[in-house]
Amino acid sequence: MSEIQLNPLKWTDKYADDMYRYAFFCLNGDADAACDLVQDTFLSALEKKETFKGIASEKTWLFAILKNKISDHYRKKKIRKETSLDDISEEGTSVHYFYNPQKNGRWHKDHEPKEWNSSEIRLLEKEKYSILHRCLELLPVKWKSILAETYLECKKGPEICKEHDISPSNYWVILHRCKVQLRECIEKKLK
Amino acid sequence: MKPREEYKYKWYLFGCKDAGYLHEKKQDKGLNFGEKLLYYFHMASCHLCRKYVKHLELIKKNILDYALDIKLDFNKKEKIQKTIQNNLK
Repeated sequence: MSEIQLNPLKWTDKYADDMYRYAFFCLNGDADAACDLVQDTFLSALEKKETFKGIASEKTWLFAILKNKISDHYRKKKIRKETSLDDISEEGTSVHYFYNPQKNGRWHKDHEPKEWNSSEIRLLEKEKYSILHRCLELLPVKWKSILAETYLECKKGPEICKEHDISPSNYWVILHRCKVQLRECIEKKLK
Repeated sequence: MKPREEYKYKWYLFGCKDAGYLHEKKQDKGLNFGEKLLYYFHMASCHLCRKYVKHLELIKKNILDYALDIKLDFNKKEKIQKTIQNNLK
C-alpha cells in the first residue's frame, strides 16, 4: 500500500506549470506539443495509478512519465536520436571541437570566447526565447533534460545522477559539454 | 571504501578544458584543495576562461528569466483539469 496518496484533482494546480515549463524547454519552445504532453502525462498517470508505489513523490512520478513522453515525442519525430552515455563522445559536440588537445586542452583558435558588448547582452535579453530555442535544438534530448533539471527544477547533482543513472563525473562532463556548445551557439547568434 | 577520484591533474598539463570541467564540479559539489589551486590559478591567468565563465552566468540568468515567464495558459489548464475529471468518472 502506498504511503503517499495520489490526488489527481490537484495535479493541474500543483504541477501543470512546472511540467509545462520543463516540456517547453525540452521541446525547444513548441508550446502546443508541450501542452499536449502535459495532458498526455496526466492521462497516462491516471491509467497506471495502480502502479504508483509511493516510493518517490507524486511529482517525481509524474515527471518520470513526462520524460518518457518527451523521449517518445522525439523518437516519433526523429528530430534527434536519444543519446546514451555510451555514444556521448560520438555526438558532434566532442570537446576536442572546442579545445585543442595538442595545446593541453586550451581553447581552439576558432572557438575562443569573444567579448560580448552591452548591445549584444541586451539583444540576448530581448531575444532570449528565439536564441535559446534555436541553440537548444542542437543539444541531445538527454543533455537538455539534465540542463532543465539543473536550472529550471533547481535539482541537486546527486538527485539528477540517481535519476539518470550516471556518475557525478559524467554529470559534470555532460553539463560542461552542454554549456560549451550552448555558449558558442549563442555567441554566433549575437555576432 | 571511498572511491578513488578518477580525474587526476598534472599542473603542467592543466588547460581550459580541465578548468571548464572543474567549473561544473565547483558549482555542484565543490573542489578539493588541489583542484581549487589549479582552478583559481588558471582563472587568474586565462582571460578566455574568465570570459567563458562570465558568459555562462549571463546564459544562466537568461534561462532563469525565461523560466519565470513560461506558464501554462489558464484556458488550457482548465481544459486539462476537465479532461482529468472526466477520466476519473
